[in-house]
Amino acid sequence: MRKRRFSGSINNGAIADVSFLLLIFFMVVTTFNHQYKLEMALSAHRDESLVRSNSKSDVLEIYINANDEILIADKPRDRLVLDELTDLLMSLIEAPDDNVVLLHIHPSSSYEQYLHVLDELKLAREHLIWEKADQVYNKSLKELNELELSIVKKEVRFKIREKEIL
Amino acid sequence: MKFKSKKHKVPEINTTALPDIILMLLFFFMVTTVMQDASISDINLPVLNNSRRLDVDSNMLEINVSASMGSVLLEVEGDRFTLSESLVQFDHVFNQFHRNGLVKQNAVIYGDGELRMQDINLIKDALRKHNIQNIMYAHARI
Repeated sequence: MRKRRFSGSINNGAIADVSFLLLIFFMVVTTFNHQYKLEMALSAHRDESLVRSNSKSDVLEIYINANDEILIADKPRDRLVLDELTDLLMSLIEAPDDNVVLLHIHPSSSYEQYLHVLDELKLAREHLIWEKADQVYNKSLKELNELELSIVKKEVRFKIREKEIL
Repeated sequence: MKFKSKKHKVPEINTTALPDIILMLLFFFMVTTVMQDASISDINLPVLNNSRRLDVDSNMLEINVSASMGSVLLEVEGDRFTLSESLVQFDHVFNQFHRNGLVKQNAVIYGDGELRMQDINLIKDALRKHNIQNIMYAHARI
């Protein structure tokens, strides 16, 4: 039987350590992909003509054009900035009755931009609810009870309507 | 020439633990694996800040819309068709639900971020015809 002439030895005491390190690394780093949703009630018609119940309701018009640019009140903005949007919404909800944010959407605009606008609107609304809760009740949102919460939400209420730019 | 070989004996890797490790890995993956519906996998969901988790239940109609290959591919409950074909097929899929007594009230749209709004509007038109009340737009988070 031939003996092996050259034999090296790998010190394999470290293999266990390395494998545990790798295991712990991946245990710490791995995340599962959750999916998130943006919920909207489905409107009754595709082009919602603006129905002003009375002259006291106010409308904020936001345009998304074919180049995915967002224009509010004829001033183009590259991205909706949350602070500006909350200011605009604040003046919107001061009108007492049904307040409407009307989105004019060009059919060639991207879906992603549309979702960005909806997302910013929802975030701005939540921001306003926080502020209202602080202003009216001087409490943070978590400290409000059911009745107070419903009152504050009612104050900061607006509808989002969509219209197609033809 | 003979020489004395003062070679160390090569220590062998003790492999008695290997089947244990392999079985452990197997059980781990058996427990944690969730089967994905065989659906369109090239949808890039848009990335947003919103923090409402999406929990899909059987009351929801799942619509996968992908925009690759130059045409819009729509998949609803395993039926796949292109959106440029008439939405008659879409109606057909819905009618199957009604026949089976399944009434869906909510729809979840898994849409690629680069879809055009005209496609989404077509889908929403079809959903309106079938009394869907709420739409959830699925997206990913940063």
